[in-house]
Amino acid sequence: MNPSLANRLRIGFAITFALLAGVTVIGVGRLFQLRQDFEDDTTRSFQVEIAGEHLRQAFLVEQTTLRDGPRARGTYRRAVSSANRAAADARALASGDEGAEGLVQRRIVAERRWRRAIARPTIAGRSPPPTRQARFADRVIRTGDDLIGREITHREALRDDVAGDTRMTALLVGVGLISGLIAAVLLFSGLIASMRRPLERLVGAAGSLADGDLRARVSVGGPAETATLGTAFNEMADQLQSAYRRVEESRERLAITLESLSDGVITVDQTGVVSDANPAARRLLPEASPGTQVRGALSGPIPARQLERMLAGREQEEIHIGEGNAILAITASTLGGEEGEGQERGAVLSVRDISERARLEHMKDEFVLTASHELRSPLTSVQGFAELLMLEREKLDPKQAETVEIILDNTRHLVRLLNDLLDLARSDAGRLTISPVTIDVPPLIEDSVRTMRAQTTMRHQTLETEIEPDLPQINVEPDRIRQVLVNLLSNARDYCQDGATIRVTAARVDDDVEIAVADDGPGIPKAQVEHIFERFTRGDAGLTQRVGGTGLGLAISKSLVELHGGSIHLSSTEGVGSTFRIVLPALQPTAEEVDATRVMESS
Amino acid sequence: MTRILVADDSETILLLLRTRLEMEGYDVTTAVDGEEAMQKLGGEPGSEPDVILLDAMMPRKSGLDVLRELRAGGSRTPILIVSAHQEQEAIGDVSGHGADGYIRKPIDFDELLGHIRQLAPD
Repeated sequence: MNPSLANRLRIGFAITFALLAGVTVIGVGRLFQLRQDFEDDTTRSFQVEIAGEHLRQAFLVEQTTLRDGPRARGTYRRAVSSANRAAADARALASGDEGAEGLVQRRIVAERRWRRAIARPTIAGRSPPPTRQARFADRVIRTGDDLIGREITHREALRDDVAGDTRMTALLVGVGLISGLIAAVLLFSGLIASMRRPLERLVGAAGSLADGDLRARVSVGGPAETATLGTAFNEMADQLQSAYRRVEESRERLAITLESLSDGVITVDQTGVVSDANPAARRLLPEASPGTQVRGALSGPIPARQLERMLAGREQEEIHIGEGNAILAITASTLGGEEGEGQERGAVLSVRDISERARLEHMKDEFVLTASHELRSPLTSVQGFAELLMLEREKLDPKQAETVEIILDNTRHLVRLLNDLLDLARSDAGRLTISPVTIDVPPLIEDSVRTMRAQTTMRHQTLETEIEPDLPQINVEPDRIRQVLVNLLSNARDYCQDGATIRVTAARVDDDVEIAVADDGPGIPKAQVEHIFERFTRGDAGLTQRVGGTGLGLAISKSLVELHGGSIHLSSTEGVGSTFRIVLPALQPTAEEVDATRVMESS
Repeated sequence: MTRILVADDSETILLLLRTRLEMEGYDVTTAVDGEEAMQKLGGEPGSEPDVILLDAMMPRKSGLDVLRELRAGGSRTPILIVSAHQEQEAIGDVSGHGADGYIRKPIDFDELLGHIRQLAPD
């Protein structure tokens, strides 16, 4: 793995910093050194010059002492030793500086010669001629002046040298710094370039992937970061590709399943346009072919409101369309989303050919209808003749009378059962029709209660009514709704203990009229509540034995109420009681009626 | 005495109706189908029944056919149709064809006798 970008940057910074710092340190050191050397050299030059002055003074002292001739031997000796000390000092100071060393040496040699040729003879009393004295003395003084003059020029040369060296050093430091900066810039642009290429490759590959080329991969390279990014991108692309393959496979499986399905499946998008239909759907419902608006294609066979409910996922029941030998059952489910908001996601309609089922059901219905008709004639005879016998009851002995009564009771039960079965068969066959009329609710309830009053009183049960004033009218077939109410009241009477209270209430609830029959009887076990409206479902076995009844009453009541566009509900708590609620749509008063009411109220 | 013609293809029903109606004091004539009923009606003058009870469904000629024929011939004799069918639509609107009443099987005799008393007051 290549070093990471962060490490590269770190290294880059370190190198740049070291380079610049090195250049700076070397430059400053060099400048300092130059200054130091210059000062040292200058100082020594001054010292050499001063030593030269000392030599001159010592020589003057020597010359002066010689004026006294041989008497000055003692002073002269002291002057010589002082001059020798000055010469030793000068030599020591000049050592290492060739130019100065040579000049000091020449001065010393000249003085030595002067002593040999002039001083010693003078001390000995043989004073050389003045010209000879002057020649040797001049030589000493000239070489001394040479030394001093040389030091003055030497210092000037030193100053010029150090100025030149300082300029050169500053120039070199500048060049070093600029080179360091240039190196840093090159380093960083190199780093950026090393990242840009892999990134550009990544961008290109991502673009191809987005365009649908799932084989797009990127060669891993560059700094650790882009390398990791590249690896991750490739893994992501791998996963995308395999996920796509899986989706594609399951889509194919689904397509094959849909193709081979005998049920039709139609998918509808959120605007209601058919997006897909399998072969079975095309055969069963050719009008709903892909591309057509389902609202238009199915508006004939399915009422618009129901179709909207289906598309919105609120229709639980299957819808039957067609008639005679070709009947289709359609169920709808919405695609995803919560119930009620499915319309935004589209829906799936499943179409099943139920012609055969419908034919069998039709046969069954016909059979039940025919059978119940056929049973009626013999039943008429049995009931009629038993009644005949009862008319002449006084001619029968008590045992016979009781027997005939049992025959009559059971015949009546059989007749009720037959009537209930017939109602259900007609309801199933769609032959149960109603002829609704507009009526007030109170008389309907009062009629039913009156019918039941004697029977509840016999069992010491209380039968109460509570009807809200000003209830809207309802549009129903009175006999049928009365049948439902009497059925509910009979159930309450039969299943409740003696002395129970049965309440019939009627109230307006939103746009409906709700009629409730409530009792404080034993209640219905929770497990039975949801099945209570099914056929042959009855309460507690022991109780039903005693109560009798066909087990069809509530099923018929449900059919009848639904036939009126209403619904029936049960709520029950064991040991507390049961309440059956019939909800029927209230008749909305027409505008004229509202006006009429206003006129009446105002007059 | 009030005369009643009863037509039904079931011998038992005929026996029941005859027995019960005679117990109530009516003069009962019976027929097993529409044809026979028409023959009985075409008998000597003065013996026309006061009320006719016709089973809706009978072989050869149904009660409804008899009803239609009689009304087409101008007869005003009260006619009650008896049917095992509960559905009005299965036998058509009987009052539309001129029937005076409609009795369902099994026969509620209180209802039947009430109808007869209303149609043929003594």
